[in-house]
Amino acid sequence: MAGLANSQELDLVIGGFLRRLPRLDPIIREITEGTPLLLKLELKDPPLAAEIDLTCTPLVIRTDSTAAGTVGMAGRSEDFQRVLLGLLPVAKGINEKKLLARGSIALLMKAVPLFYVVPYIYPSYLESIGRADLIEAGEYPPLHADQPVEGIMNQIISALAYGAGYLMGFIKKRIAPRLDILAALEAMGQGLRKAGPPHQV
Amino acid sequence: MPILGRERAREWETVWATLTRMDSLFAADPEGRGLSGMLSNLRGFLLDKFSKSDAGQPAVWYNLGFNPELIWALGVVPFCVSELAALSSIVGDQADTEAFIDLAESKGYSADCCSADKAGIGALLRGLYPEPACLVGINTPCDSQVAVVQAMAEQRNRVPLFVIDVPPYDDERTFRQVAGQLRELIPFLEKHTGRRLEWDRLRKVCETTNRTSQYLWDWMEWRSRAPTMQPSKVAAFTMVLMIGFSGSRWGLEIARALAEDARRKVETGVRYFQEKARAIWYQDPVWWDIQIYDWMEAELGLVIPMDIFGYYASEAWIDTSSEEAMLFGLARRMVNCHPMSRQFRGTMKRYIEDFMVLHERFQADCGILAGHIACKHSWGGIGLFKEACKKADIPLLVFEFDMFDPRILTYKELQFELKRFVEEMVLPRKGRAKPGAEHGRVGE
Repeated sequence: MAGLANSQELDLVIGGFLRRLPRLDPIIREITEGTPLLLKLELKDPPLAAEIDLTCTPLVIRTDSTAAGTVGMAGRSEDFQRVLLGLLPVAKGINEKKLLARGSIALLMKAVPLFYVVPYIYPSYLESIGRADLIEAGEYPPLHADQPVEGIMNQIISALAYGAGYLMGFIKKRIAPRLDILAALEAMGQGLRKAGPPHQV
Repeated sequence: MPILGRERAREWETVWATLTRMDSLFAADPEGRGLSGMLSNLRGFLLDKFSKSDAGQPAVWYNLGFNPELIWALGVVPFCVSELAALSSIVGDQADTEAFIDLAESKGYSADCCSADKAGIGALLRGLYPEPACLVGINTPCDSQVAVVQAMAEQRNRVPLFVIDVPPYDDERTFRQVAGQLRELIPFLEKHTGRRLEWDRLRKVCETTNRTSQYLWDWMEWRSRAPTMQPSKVAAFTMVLMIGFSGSRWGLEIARALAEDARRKVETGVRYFQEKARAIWYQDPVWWDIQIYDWMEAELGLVIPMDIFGYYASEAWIDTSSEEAMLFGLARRMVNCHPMSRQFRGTMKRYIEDFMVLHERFQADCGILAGHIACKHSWGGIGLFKEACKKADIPLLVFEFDMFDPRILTYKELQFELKRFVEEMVLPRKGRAKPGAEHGRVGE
């Protein structure tokens, strides 16, 4: 896998991805259960500090702040890149000291599910900015312990979401390679927001 | 997240939801099995308590120095009054613990009290435990406990209170005296819970405690090896285990998970960081963010193979051959094995001796006295402790902090203290040592 050579490139790639997250605000708030937290990411070799600020609406991404954050994750840029790709599950990263977590465990556990979702959109983002070279080939471990989906309504919605995802993947791979997955998720987020009040912050 | 299908106080639900998420997260990784084993049994323990409370079984409240074997044997539900505050710090939202502390102070409890007590009192003031049938107070593991016993009695002034008064000695006469008090406690508990103690049931509970003890000793043995393979962040859990789980199958399973995880990690031999220095952490752990131990290992190469809360002394075995023997064993264990109760009564002699034993057995390079600001006993004897370390030529870091409250010493400040000590004192000193004179782990 090609590496991220310096801070500028890191800011362009990972920073650029983070700066697109406000588009997914409603989805991210659903994932984090509307928790008003400030997730600080501290990367090194090369360095980048970024914040995902969920204390305001829509969420704000900062890469120029020295705030400590309510919770934090630190690690080497290369490892963090692997987290975003889904090659390094968060639990493994923490157990192997590649990811150093900080702050209230309850809030961290609200933030961690973000990293279950990101690997499904990060590769298409890399493709969209012409950095498919950063996508590592290999065995992608399960991101999270398999959880049975409880409740008939949850099962129906999960099945519909799977079908929509499959359709998007099919179209992107076979028909329209430039299909913008983030835009589709953004549209889903807008639908979520329209359907009811977002989590109150 | 409801517990057993019922809405509970927000603080309990936060702990429950966090435990569930952590268990699910760490169970997915083989390296996290030990932690997951602890978490799933902690969940089982809470479910058991809520299910019994929902079924109307009587609850007994007690404070930090008591071990709940007699309560388990009666088949009633034990609640340590500092339990929720501690769980909130370790596996919940630290902000809840701080809110408990602030509430206790706002109601007039002295800010100089121990935060474990203040946080416990805050949870009492919020009414977060099922109503008790009776209360058990004890003046261990430290003198500060008198404050929480008084608060417990004031909060529930119509609920009967039994006080166990542990003398400041550690001889057989003391054990017999405390065993006598436990003998008197039995009819008190029977009267107020409406349950009758069956000695055979107490025997089974004591046997569970003995099996738990064996796992804890095995665990210590695996952790004493250099390099230590199991993370430093679980070094302090004996204390939690004894206060909340002693004599329960949940406690047994947690001890088993800890010991087997330590053994497996030693046998596998896979390391994720370079161990450069080993320290005995000799005071309260950093409960408000135990992830800082991961930072110590990854960034400083500093390992805590054992701390005073994790150390489990060898006098814990309970002879189950007779009623008297069981009560004697329970008393001796509570007085002489419960972390802190063992070291924080009476003189500084045992406090210093235990440190020296741990330092040698766990092949440490230094000591870290994380001076919990309310620990009057350790601060009172700090001069003697420093002098002993100086004589033994053991580098010692001393700083003030609070185990449940990061507002006293912040994360960054703690990092600064540890980094300076390890990099400017411990590692240069190891580097100067002749080959073979030290443990020779630098560069492994």
